[in-house]
Amino acid sequence: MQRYAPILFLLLLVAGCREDEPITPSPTTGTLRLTLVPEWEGAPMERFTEYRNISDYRMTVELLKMHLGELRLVNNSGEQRMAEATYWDLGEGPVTQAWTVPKGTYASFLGALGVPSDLNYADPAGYGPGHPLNVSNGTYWNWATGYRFVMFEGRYDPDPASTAPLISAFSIHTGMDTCYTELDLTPSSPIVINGGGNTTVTVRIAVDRFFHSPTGTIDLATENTAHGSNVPLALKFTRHVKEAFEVE
Amino acid sequence: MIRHRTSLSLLGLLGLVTAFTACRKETPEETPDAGPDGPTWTPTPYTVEVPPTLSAMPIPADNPFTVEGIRLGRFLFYEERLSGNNTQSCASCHAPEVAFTDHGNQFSVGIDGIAGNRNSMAIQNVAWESSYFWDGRAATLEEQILQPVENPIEMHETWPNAVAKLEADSVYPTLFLRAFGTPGITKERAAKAMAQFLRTMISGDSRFDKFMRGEEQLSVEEQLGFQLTLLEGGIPPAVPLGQGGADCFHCHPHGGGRFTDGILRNNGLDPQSAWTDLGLGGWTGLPQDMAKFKTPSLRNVALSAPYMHDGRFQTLEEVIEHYNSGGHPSTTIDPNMKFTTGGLQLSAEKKAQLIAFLHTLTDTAFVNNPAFHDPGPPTLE
Repeated sequence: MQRYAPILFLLLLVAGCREDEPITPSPTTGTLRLTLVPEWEGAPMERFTEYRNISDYRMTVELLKMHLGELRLVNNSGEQRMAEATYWDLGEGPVTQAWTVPKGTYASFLGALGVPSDLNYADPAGYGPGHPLNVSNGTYWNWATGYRFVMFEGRYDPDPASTAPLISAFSIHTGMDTCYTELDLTPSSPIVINGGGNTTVTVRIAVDRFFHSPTGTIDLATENTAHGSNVPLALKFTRHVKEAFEVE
Repeated sequence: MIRHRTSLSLLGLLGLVTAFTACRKETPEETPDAGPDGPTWTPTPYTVEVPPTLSAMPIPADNPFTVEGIRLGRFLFYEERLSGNNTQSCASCHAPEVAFTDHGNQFSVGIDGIAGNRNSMAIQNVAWESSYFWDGRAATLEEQILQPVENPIEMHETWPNAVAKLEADSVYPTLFLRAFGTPGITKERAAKAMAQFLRTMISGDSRFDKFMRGEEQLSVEEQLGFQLTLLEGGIPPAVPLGQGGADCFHCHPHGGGRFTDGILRNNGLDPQSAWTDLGLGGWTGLPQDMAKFKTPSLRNVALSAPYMHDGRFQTLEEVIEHYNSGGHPSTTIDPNMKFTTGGLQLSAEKKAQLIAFLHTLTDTAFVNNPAFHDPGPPTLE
């Protein structure tokens, strides 16, 4: 025993002083990256750029924010839940968020447009800095309505021939459980997560299609405001947004 | 044998002690003893208490709270030597009894007798802001604090001069040492200390907060006023889905306790042809930013007259009348200002209810808190 004492001494000295080893990616997990790309007729959408919508109205987009909830990958083993609530400010272009998930092959990538009810109606003071539901993101409405799931604002002019500045504003906000809508974000082929690797799913959001879908059209001249009380417009808009998601 | 065991035990103990002490982080001395790099001090960490109606406070990683930093910041906030002629401090235009605004003045007058063109902003819950000044030109509180000292129509001093005056003081060098652990007075350190102090200025104990906590009742009129802030404007049938409300909640949400979302907006004060102060657009130069100003909190609004970025309204009644009128349409008016034609059409009764509610946001405990008042000349203890 005596002969091991110096070795023990050295071991204690060295082991006690060792810096923490850098964390290496676990071979059993990889990174899933989700990128949302706002577009207008196939090109990057730019705020304050004048577009023509389906009604041939001159218009600009000034604000586009949304919450996606219950993001999860699904395979035969069950679900891997990445996030119950996420926040996306798409006003400045594409946004990417990433999560660590177990490696494997996943048949589905599911989520929802909105905030799950239990989180939606909790006290927002409980969501601290950096949380997707922190009030600093400017998406909180009030205790009766919770969070705005999609905030879409801009200006328009129904006269396509006019060159006057755009004055009339639209402000369409969705929210509340009635607008909480499942999304299927599954690409055409299964999602493969390799240990230590990165896998990206890109979703193009065709903002021009917010105004129309096979089931109807939104006429900004009469349908320009949804702030909780205009549920029919909020539901129609929610359907359009859902259908504007195109997974690559 | 026993001796051998004793030796081995001692050796093991020595090993443990050596291992432990060899790994210990360097800690500064706790008294300002002179070392090779001058005296050092270990600032005392401070945990800020946030009322339950507010969300957790974002605290910059490079400027954590310390007892000594907050104390220094308080002295500096009231320090008149930061101005060119040693007559004005930050507090000169941000007085406690009026929610840290400028005594009811429309514009503040600097040391040279020159008035500015913006109303002094209330100081409260600034830790939660994401931009500062009416035009949002400062991204951090520390950055904001640096500007008034050198503004020629405000304190009109240079930071090198201000630092020199602080260095010449018998107490400030030690206060800076204690706040930051090492000697040295810089403008950056001064800003950090003041930012720490300002971040402790939390308003969250108004009658409304007590109502939300179930500690106090509001009158029927006050509660109706609160409800009006949460309802959409417009009255059917002219506005089919209108709720007859005041439409306040879009920009002044009560959720999270701040009564502002902090966003810069054009709230329709002037017709586009009459814009003079361009606000956010004045420094970004972008057409879409013109005439946009920061949305202020409604907290302590009954104390902080006059109102708007240019202090044009003397009373809350005038403010409500502006929103009731709908404001002036323009290319940048906020989309939530939806009633530029026709207005909100609030009745006199509803206006009175709104004003009654706004008074419930007065936080007398905040404005009377001695921790935020003038501490007098700087002292070590």
